[in-house]
Amino acid sequence: MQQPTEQKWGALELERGMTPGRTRDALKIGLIAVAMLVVFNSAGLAKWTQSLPSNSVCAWLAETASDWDQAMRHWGPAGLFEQLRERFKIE
Amino acid sequence: MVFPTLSFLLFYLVVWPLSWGAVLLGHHTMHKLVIIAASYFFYAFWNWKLAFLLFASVLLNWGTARLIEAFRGPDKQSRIVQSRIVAAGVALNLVVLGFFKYFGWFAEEMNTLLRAAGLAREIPLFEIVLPVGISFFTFQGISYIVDLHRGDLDRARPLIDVMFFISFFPHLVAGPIVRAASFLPQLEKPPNPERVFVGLGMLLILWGVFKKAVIAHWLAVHLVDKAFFDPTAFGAIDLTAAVYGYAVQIYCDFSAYSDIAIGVAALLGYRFQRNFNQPYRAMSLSDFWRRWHMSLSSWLRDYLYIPLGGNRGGGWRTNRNLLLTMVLGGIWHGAAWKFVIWGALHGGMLAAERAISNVRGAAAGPPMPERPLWRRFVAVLAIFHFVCFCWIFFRAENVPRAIEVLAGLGRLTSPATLVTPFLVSLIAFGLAIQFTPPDLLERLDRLYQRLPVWVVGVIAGLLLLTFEIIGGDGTAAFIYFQF
Repeated sequence: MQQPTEQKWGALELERGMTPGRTRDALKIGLIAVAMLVVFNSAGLAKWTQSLPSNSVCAWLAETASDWDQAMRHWGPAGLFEQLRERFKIE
Repeated sequence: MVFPTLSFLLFYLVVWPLSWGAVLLGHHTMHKLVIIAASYFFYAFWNWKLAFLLFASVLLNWGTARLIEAFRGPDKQSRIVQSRIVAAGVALNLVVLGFFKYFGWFAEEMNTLLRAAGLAREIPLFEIVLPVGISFFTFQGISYIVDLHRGDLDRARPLIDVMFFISFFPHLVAGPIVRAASFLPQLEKPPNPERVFVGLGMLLILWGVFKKAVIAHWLAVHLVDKAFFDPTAFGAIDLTAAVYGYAVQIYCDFSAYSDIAIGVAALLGYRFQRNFNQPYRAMSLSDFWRRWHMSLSSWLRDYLYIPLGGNRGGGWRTNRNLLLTMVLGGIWHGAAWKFVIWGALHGGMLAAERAISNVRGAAAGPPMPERPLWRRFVAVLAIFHFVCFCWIFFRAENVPRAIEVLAGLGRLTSPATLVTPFLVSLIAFGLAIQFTPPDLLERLDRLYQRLPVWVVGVIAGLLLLTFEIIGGDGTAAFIYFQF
């Protein structure tokens, strides 16, 4: 697909020497990174849902996130992340 | 909604597949509508009523451009009418900006003057909410009509494109200030899903999150905010560290926003210009302004300094234009005397630099980058300290507080209570990154190209988890949201 002539690929300073890729690669990278955040930092997700406005949908979200956090603590990754956070906490 | 937060991540996880889905289905208009709807949702997250102001700004600039187009013609009369329409459009933009941003300040200052003159009448004060990002979207609207008038843009664009350009959420609230002439042509065709700068986007987002969530956050919360809140309580060591700390904090905060914005836009298939280029390695103040907030400095150059006459018309006129541009650039940041002083200091120094260069002429020797290392080192050090001095006025709550900081820098006997080895190492790191090789991003992109996608995903996840561990609780609003 041809781009407008005013904006040739690689013409912008930041793009010089950079290689364009496929957008589905970004999707895969994003999904893996988010999955890791949700698994290891499930406490952060649960905390975020508790800050949402109070209505039935948000209450359901908060409950589901809390159950998820409990499961991740039970299975280990959330506990491991908490230990690392405590170990490397900067005072 | 702030960039490095879970709210934004979830928002983006919805917008990203929807926008690309529309492209893959061949619905270019639908793709634009998805981005526009997302942008208004993003903006309404702060205050939904102000989304109408954003829309009004779009309508104003779209309508002005249609009028410019309608009166386009080769004769002199058409040019005069066009110029008047542009002037009216720019003036209306500035009136809106001025009302929301400067009315309160103007009324307070006028009332002080009236009281001093013994007059009983006062200008009524209203509680005006400052719409987030108003300075940015106003400047982009002005860029649209001026670029069209100058011929940098071939024709007026349909409403949907103008809405997209002005409201596009990555740059909406804190820039970079995107030029109509460079952005609108990108909307002619849908972005190509096979040619997206994925490596660049990912690297900029991760780097931006690190700078904001770790460096800027720690320096703000544990050093700068405390020192500038009550400078009289601290001595020279703490205040010196706080001034250096603020120089690093504001760079890491603002450049982080720009990096994330450029990265987020890149993953959606859109391209912005660079906004920062290692500013603290500048060897002159004019060099600093070619590296710092480049989208604003080039905007001020092209839409203010050059129309004022630029460097045409002799020495004193050039100096006047420089000073005026920088003072107005200072006031752009906010309605306060401290910003006037900050702008005047920069403008005055730029004028002085120019005058010295003119006086020395050929006797000045080779250009700065070709001079011996020690001279370049001294120049970088001198410019950095001048910029730090100006930051004191920029950061302090008001001018008396800035003077307290300056006075405190002389309290050599007071013990240090804020400075810790960790904070010093953050300042040192924030300064060291100014001197990394200019092609570092390119090298990292080459590394990214060699790794399997799943490995990049795991590295990105590990980095985000690491930032979460060392970043501390919560994310403060970006400094430039207030402008």
